Amino acid sequence: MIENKTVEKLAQLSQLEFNASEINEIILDLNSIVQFVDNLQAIPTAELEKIQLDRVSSDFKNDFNEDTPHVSLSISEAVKNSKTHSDGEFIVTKVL
Amino acid sequence: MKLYQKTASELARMLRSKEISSIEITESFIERIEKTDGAVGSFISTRFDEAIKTAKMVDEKIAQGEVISALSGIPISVKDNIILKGEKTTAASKMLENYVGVYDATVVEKLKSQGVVILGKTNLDEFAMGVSTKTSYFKTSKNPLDLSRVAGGSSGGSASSIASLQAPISIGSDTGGSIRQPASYCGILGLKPTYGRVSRYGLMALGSSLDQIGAFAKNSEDLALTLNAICGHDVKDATSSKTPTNDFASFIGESVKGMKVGVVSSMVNDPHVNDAMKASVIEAIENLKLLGAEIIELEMPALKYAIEAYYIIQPAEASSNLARYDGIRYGHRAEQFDTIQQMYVKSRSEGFGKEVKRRIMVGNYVLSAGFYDAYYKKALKLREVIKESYANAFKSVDVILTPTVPNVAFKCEENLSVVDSYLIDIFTVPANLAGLPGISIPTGKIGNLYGSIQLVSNNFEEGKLLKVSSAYEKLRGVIHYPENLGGANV
Repeated sequence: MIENKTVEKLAQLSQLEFNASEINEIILDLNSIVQFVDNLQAIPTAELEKIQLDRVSSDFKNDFNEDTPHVSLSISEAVKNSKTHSDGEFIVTKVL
Repeated sequence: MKLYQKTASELARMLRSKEISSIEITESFIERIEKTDGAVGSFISTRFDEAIKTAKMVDEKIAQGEVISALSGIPISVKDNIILKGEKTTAASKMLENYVGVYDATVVEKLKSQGVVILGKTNLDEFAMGVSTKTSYFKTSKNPLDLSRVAGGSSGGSASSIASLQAPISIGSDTGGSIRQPASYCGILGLKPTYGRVSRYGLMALGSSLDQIGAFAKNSEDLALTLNAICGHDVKDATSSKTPTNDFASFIGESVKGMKVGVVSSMVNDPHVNDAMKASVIEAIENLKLLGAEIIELEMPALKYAIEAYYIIQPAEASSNLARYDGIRYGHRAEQFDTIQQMYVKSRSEGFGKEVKRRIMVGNYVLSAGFYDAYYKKALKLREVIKESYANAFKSVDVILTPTVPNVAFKCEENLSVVDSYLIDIFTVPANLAGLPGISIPTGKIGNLYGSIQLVSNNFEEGKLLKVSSAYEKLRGVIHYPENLGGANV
């Protein structure tokens, strides 16, 4: 059962905030979703436990590009969509 | 017959034989959009000036005797989570209401280089999270076959643009059914390719291991030509496959005699499936027998929990992908805040809609300490079981048949509960979890709407799906999408 305290913690992780009426709604929603996905707990675990998720297969190879310079976004393009920017830098509220 | 009523392949043939110009084709669709989009709401934005420029360029090439691509000069609509350089891509969210793309998605680059005429950006559920476009910040797209019903989601605008004859072909994205479900609702074809077939570079990410760009069309030939135009390896997408791309058009018109079609009876008989939809699916199975296909009963018990696994994995990936929206580099930034932390929180809380926030919260829940093993890890293991289940099934069948959706499109005013809306994806999510290609094919009429079947094939075997869809539509006959939307005068 998800309660207020858990929702506060999740909101912190999600970088979201909810007002008083929104909190009640999100608690109800989250509980109905978690109850729904909890059906997964009915699956017999014996078979699932055998599955190794961290197995290394020779079929899988990382597909890295060569580390060579190439045309990319210009600085002016990269900052273009920011609300405030100056001289190619993002301007935000003081961090420290 | 008006130009906008024709298929892309018919228009391409007429263009090549110089019966008509690309300008004439494009103007026909522009006129159709201007006349009908007030009622349907397929488009978030249109780009008619640019479309005419492309059409002119193609006409000049033809006049000069230059070689053109199969879809050169043919209009297309593009889902508004696929980025176009210099133009707005909003993901149907307040968060990106004013975002202007600084690069073209690879699929857009391909379309532009082939002279395909991009008419505009179509409506979707916000950040592709939804089944109806009702979560869009802008509007709900209506079903052209019945304007009181939804077009489906999340690629609802793309689907409605086809069924309302506003575009002959469209591209959308499919993470858990977002092409196949709206295709079913709007009575058209929709195909999600194998994961890795189409570059995801420039597709705004929802679930990176699930997302795939795919196509909508009125017939299989058009679908095949669109796939030809967008498939292929891309160095900018590390998940893009190097498996050679077929000429998908070569599968059109091939016989399905002797093809083995596996029917998952437990899904056809699932209690969620409405009687009329079930009857339509059963009729379709009989029609496949008439075409010479061999029907084989399949049991795939692992698919029973696919929907729960999906709604753990997808929100988990979404919570990570949407963390980038912090109001700094792009996107909505709040006006009132004291600290940088408050800026992040308020920008996100103001910018995202309810469904997006729900999924981010669920995603963080299933990934958090204490719950990770019970939910996320368990869902990943079930995913492996599902993949294996399909791999085993494909040892004895060519394609696997299920309903696409439990029922036809619901009414716009109907407010489904969160879980009821998730259950609409019950038959489509397994293909995304397994990375397999899937198609929705319209079958018989259910009132003003259509039933549908979903076929899933093995990796990189989209050709088998197109073989069946083209044989099926020959037997079923051409679907005539109404000029008057939903039967009403427009």
